[in-house]
Amino acid sequence: MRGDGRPGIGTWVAFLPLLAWQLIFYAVPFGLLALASFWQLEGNRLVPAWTLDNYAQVFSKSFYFGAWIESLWLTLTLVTTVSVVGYAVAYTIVFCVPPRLQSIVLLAMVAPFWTNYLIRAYGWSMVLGGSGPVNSVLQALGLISQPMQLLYTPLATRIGLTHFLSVVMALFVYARMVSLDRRLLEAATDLGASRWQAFREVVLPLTVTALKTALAVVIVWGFADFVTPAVLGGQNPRVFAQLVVDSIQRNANWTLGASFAAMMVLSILFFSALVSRIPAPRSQDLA
Amino acid sequence: MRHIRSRFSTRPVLLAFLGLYLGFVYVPMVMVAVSAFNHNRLAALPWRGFTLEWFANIPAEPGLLDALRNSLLVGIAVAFTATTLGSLAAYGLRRRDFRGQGAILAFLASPIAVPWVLLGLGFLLFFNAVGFPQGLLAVWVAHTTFAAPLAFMVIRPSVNALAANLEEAASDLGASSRQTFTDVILPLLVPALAAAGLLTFTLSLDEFIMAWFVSGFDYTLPVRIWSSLRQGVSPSISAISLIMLCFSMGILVVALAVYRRRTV
Repeated sequence: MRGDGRPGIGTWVAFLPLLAWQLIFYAVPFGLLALASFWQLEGNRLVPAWTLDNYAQVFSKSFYFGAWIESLWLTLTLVTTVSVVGYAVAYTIVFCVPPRLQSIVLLAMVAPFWTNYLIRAYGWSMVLGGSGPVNSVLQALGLISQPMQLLYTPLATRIGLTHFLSVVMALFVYARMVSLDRRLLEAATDLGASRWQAFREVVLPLTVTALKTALAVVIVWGFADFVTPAVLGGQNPRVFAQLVVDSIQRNANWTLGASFAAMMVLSILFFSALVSRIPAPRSQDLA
Repeated sequence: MRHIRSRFSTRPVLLAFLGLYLGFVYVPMVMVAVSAFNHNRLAALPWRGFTLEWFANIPAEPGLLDALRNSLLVGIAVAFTATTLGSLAAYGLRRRDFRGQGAILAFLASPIAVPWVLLGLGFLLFFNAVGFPQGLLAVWVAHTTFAAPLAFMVIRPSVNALAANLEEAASDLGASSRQTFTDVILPLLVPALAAAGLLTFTLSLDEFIMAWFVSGFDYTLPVRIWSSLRQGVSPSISAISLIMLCFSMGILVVALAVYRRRTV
């Protein structure tokens, strides 16, 4: 008898259907996507004839480069807004909300995101539109006489994405911050640190890793999301993710789309690696 | 000591900020709800009185009910296959360590980190290369690929928490390994399976990008909403969006409640 309670040898085959499914329907399509950027199209059939033409096209037009810069700029602004807002939210929940209420606040904060991102973007488009509440309030206050153009601007894209990503940031930072050893903070203040010093020397260095992890998510969304820029940002200026979609939807140029996708992945990996290498503010060796 | 030092308390300021932030989080949802009940044809302000007209008009919107039916069909199929694949895998790997396990688990978790636009494009190329037609079947495959690893991760802790001696006791008492699975293990896993099924169902129901790439002319509800966002919105879109919103949030609450009360 297997006295150690280990499962029978034969049952591990139950693992195989999932593994097989993921290999066929995840690894293969993804590998094909990478290969397709080096292949050619004949009609609308993909042929494995090696070429660098697709990448030559990617680098041929300043319009494409402009879209890449637009995505980079979008990502940089998101990194700033999401870090400030999300971190402050996490800090407030951990240090100002009574512990038994914290999980309720978190659930209330997360619940609206358990829905379609399209519907969220649609909601924002009505909020920011010419007859939406933002313009109505500003007009009623007499601050503006004509409705302001908010929708279909780069600002609208940033509002929509900060809305979602700041919640992600708050969750990541909260998870780390709530488990901090409070005695460290007490020790700091007892030794004469101001609250700001305690934050800078104790809280921030111990939570910066969580912040950076969440920034990786921000970078992925900044470069890869095409829904928010399309619904809220309008068509101009285009972001890089829209080029992927355009090359498929408008031009049926799949190999070019695959090359854009590859450049997108490389950008995401590059900037994520960059963020993870930013030296953390260090204090005396804690924890 | 601390009270003396802090002449000015940041606490009320931070709490006010948190309140504002929670308001900000709900702004777009409130707007969807307002426009769903607003007697204004433009899906916008000003408020022109309460109406249920837009809900009644949902069946009259071309293709909207078909899209809803498609989404529900795919969602149910995805929940079923993802939960089956995920629970089988969790059972096969229970309380087991083997070489390369870390790498395989990382591979299974990786679809979560991949942008959906890349998954969608990969599926489009793949289905075209193998001659798999675009449509609901393709959406089902795409969504299952995303949802099955999630179901696996939701179910795995419960499977691993099953008492080891349960299986032993069952086999000592003469149960075959299949009987052990169906009569002992499975009933104990029902809460985890239900939670995984509900979560994967809503994920599929709400997923837009992959569906948009591979659905062809079989619009799912998010794809239908997308096309109407581009052609000018009718308030019925707000109405059906509000229904979806409440539906998804309701399912989340139920799934969390079920999962927390799991017996294992």
